[in-house]
Amino acid sequence: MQFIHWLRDYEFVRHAVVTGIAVATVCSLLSVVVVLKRMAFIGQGISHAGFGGVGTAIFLGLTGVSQSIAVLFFCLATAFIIGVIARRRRVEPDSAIGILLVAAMAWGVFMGNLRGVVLDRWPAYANYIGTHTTPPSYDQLLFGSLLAVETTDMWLAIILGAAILIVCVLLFKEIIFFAFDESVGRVFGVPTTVIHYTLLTLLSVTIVIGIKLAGFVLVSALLVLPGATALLLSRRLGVVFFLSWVIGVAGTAGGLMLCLQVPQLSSGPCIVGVLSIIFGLVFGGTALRQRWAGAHG
Amino acid sequence: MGNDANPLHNDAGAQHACGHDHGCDHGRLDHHHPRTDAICLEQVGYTYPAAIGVAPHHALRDVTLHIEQGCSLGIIGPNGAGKTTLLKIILGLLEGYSGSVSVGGLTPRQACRRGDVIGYVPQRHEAEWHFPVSAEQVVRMGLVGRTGLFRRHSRDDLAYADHIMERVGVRDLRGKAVGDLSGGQQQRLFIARALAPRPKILVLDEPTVGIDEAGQSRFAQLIRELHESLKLTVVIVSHDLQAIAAGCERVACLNQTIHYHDAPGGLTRELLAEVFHHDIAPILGR
Repeated sequence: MQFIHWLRDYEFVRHAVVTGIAVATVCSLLSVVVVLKRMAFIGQGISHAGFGGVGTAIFLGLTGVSQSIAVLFFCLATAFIIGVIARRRRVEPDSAIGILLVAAMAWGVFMGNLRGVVLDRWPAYANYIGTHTTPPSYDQLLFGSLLAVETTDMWLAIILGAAILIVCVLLFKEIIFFAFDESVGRVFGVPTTVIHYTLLTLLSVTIVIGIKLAGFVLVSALLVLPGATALLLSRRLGVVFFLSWVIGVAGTAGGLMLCLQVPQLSSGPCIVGVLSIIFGLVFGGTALRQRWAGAHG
Repeated sequence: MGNDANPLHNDAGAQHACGHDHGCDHGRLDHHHPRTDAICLEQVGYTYPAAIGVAPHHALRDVTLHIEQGCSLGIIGPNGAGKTTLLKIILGLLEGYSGSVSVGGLTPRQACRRGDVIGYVPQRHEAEWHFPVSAEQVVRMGLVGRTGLFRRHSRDDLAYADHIMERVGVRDLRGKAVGDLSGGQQQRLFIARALAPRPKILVLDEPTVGIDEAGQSRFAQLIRELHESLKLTVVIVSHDLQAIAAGCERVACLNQTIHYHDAPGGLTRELLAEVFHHDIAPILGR
């Protein structure tokens, strides 16, 4: 009941909940494809690369939508570099992701620190970037915060989330064949290169709308846990997508409620924590059921 | 078709794989029929580029082969003979080859983009059988390229896919998860998917691997029936001589280049020894 009151009385709670549902919906549906196509590590690489974008935005004094654009630029650039490497295979994709991930994070920290150095040595720089807003803390960036979600972020999540869903619906049959068997799909006329880069773009945009809530480190978990949990429960594609959505939204709502009860907690760990517990329970439950079925015939 | 006195056609000229009496004069490059050839390869070569610690590898050399429409051809060869490379070139999955290739009058890439020129049955073990899709959903995947981006499958195409499932004997399994099917059922499912977009060429890669002897016999019978009733050009790539002998009118032996022979019954011990580098005729019972 208290949650309903908060929802009614506080605007930031409404923003966080609406953003959470939008992000959870997109992440949970994409997570089925991410898990089936084994793109989890790619998602992690792209999300961490966004940190480089935030560092650059902090250095340049960008906030709001312009900061999101900087993050999106870094995520997309990383996604496309990973995509090209994965296709040409001159370096193993997981090595490339590992390198890009740490390089982008290092760049983000470097640029954030550089802002302080430049302001110390050349105070006039403050006139160019504006010092009316303090940069967000690393805690907030890495693990998310309810308070960080602004009206702009909410609308960005709704509009971009809807756009992602529309693209997924329009390309559904191609995406599923691509995930099932990429090279055979190509023989059957699936434009696999287009689908490959479209998926990387969708992942990048999803990560951008999810980072305020879940943070750079944990947003990629939203792209894995709901799908992985749903795949333990069903082998029917429609049911898997539905269960993934239910689990994603329920886990996000549960995490937000926990975060509101204990304000010292960051939202990202709360959401990912609840989703991980759901996964653990389902994993244990299905393992026990299989054992029981094996023992009784 | 008149048979050559010498059953081996391992000269540098075109090897014409045709099983019908159309009066073609195989063995000569200038007598191929570009309009009636389903697949046409001329002096095709492919070399895998050098990598760190690995020298360049010549997978194919001077492969010339014309496969007439309506033929059933088996391509056999030992491991490392270039079968997979040749298959990838025909399917449009491998670029950078020398010579020229046409598939249904198109380049392999164009044929690949159309999605309904070649029906392809991949090796069973390459598929993700834990994938949460039903047999019917897998068969309908075959229509994706034919339907095109942003469109839904037409009723006509869906009805044809249903008909093909019936024809191949997997219609009763349509609601089942693909992982629950037996090896033979999975193989027939892939054949139904390959035929759903109504191609005129059916290419099968090692189709009998992992299937028991009775299943292999039923499979050969099914391929013969489909070949006849749908007037398909069938190309089977396999290392299994018996599977090829049972299912194909013609055989081409590949070991980097084509060592062509007409009918499987005419394979000689010497040819097999030359292609496979050891005497394998006893396994054919001769």
